Amino acid sequence: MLDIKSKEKLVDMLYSSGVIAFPKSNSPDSFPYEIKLQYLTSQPKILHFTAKLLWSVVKKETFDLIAGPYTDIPLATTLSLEYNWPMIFIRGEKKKYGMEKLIEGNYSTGQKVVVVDEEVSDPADSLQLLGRLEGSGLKIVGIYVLIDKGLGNLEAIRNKGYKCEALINLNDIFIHLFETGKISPDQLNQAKDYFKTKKISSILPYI
Amino acid sequence: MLEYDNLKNMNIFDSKMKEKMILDLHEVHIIDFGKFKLKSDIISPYYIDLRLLVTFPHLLELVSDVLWEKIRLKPFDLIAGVPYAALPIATAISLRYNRPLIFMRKEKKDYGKGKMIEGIYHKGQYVVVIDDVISDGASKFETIKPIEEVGLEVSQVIVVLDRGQGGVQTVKNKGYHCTAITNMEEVLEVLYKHGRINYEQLMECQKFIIKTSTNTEMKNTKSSQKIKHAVR
Repeated sequence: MLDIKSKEKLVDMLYSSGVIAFPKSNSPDSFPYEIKLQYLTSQPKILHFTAKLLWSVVKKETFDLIAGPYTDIPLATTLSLEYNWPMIFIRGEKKKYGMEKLIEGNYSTGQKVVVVDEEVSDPADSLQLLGRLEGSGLKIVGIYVLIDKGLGNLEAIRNKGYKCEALINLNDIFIHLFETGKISPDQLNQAKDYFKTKKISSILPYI
Repeated sequence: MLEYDNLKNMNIFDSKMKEKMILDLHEVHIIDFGKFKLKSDIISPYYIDLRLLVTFPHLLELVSDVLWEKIRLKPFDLIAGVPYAALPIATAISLRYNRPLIFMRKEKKDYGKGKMIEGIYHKGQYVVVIDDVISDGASKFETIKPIEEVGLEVSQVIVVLDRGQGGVQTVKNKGYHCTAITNMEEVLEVLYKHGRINYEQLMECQKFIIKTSTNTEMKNTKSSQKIKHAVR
C-alpha cells in the first residue's frame, strides 16, 4: 500500500485542486464534504500525479494488461500511456453491430489483468465487469481504486475472492486535512456525524 | 474525395508522421484486410478499429501527436472526446499537451448530481471535439448538442479517419470547422506504395469505396446544386 507521506501528498493535491471540497451550506441534509473525482480529468497534471501514485502500488503485481471501465475518468489510459503498458477497455453495454465485443483492445486468454477505477461505487456493477473479463478468459490479479468511501463496497468485492485495494480512505483524508488546519474541528465533527447517519465506517475521533 | 486543401497545407514533417501512423496502424492490424461484416450487413474488404489503440500506448501517442498538429492551429480551451472510442485519444492529447479535458456521459446518472458533461468548465469556453472516425457525421451532433447546451462553444471537430460518406461536409454545412486527418483513399495509397497490400487488394478496396460512397456523394452534389440555384 501507499506510504503515509504519499497518502498525505495525494490528499493535499486533491484538496488544492478542488476534487475534495467542503461546500458551505447550512441545510441539514447537505453533504458536509464532496469528492468530485471527475474534476481530475480537467487537470492533467493532477491526474498525472495520481496515476504515478497508483502505479507505485500496481507495479508490485505481476500482470500483462491494465483494464479500465469505459465510462469513468481516464485513469487506466493515463497509466497505460505513462508507463507504456498495454490496456483493455471493458464495455458497460454490448455493441449491437459489427464485431461484437464486450472488451475492447487486443488480448489473449490466460493473460493477467489489473483493473483500475476511481472507486467502487456499486459492487454489483464492478462484479459484472470482472465477470466479463473472466468470461473472456482473462485472469484478475486485483482491483485498485483511488478512494475507499467507507461504504463497505471494497469489502463486498473482497468477499467474492478478489483482491481489492484503495490508495486512500476517508480517515486518511480527514485526519490529514484536520492536522494541517484545512478543516476546522467543527467540520470534522460534522463529517463524523454524517458518517454515523450514513453508516460509513471510520475511526475518526471526536474533537 | 480527397481533401486537396488539407494536403496542400500540410508540410513534409506532418505527412511523414502521418505515413508512419498509417503504416504502424496496419502493422498491428488496427487497419486490417479480409472480409468484415459491417452494421449495414455489407461485407467490407477492410476494417479499421481505432478502439484497439488502447493496447498500443506508443501508437496512441503517435495518433495524438498527429492530431495535435491540427488542433494547435486554432485556439481552444478544452478538449472533448466523443464517447467512447475517442476518449483514450482525447486523454492522450490532454496529458501530453497539458490541456484540460471534459467528458460526456452517454446516459445521465440517476443518482447524485447527474451531469451530462463532467469536468471543470465555464460558459463561453471553446471546445475542440475529437473522434476516431466520421461516417455520415450524424453522431457528431449528439456530442455537439450537450456541449452547446451547457454554454460552451465548439471551435472545431477533428477526426482521424474520414470514411468517405460525406460526414465532413455535413458537419461543415452546419457551420462547424471539421477536419479529417486522413481518409481511406490515402490509407490505401500509402499501404500500396510501401508494398503492404498488392494491386488486387488495392483495386478491390477502391471498388468497394466507390460502390459504398456513390449514393451519398450523389446526394451531396444534388443538394449543393440546389443551394447554387437558390443563390442565383
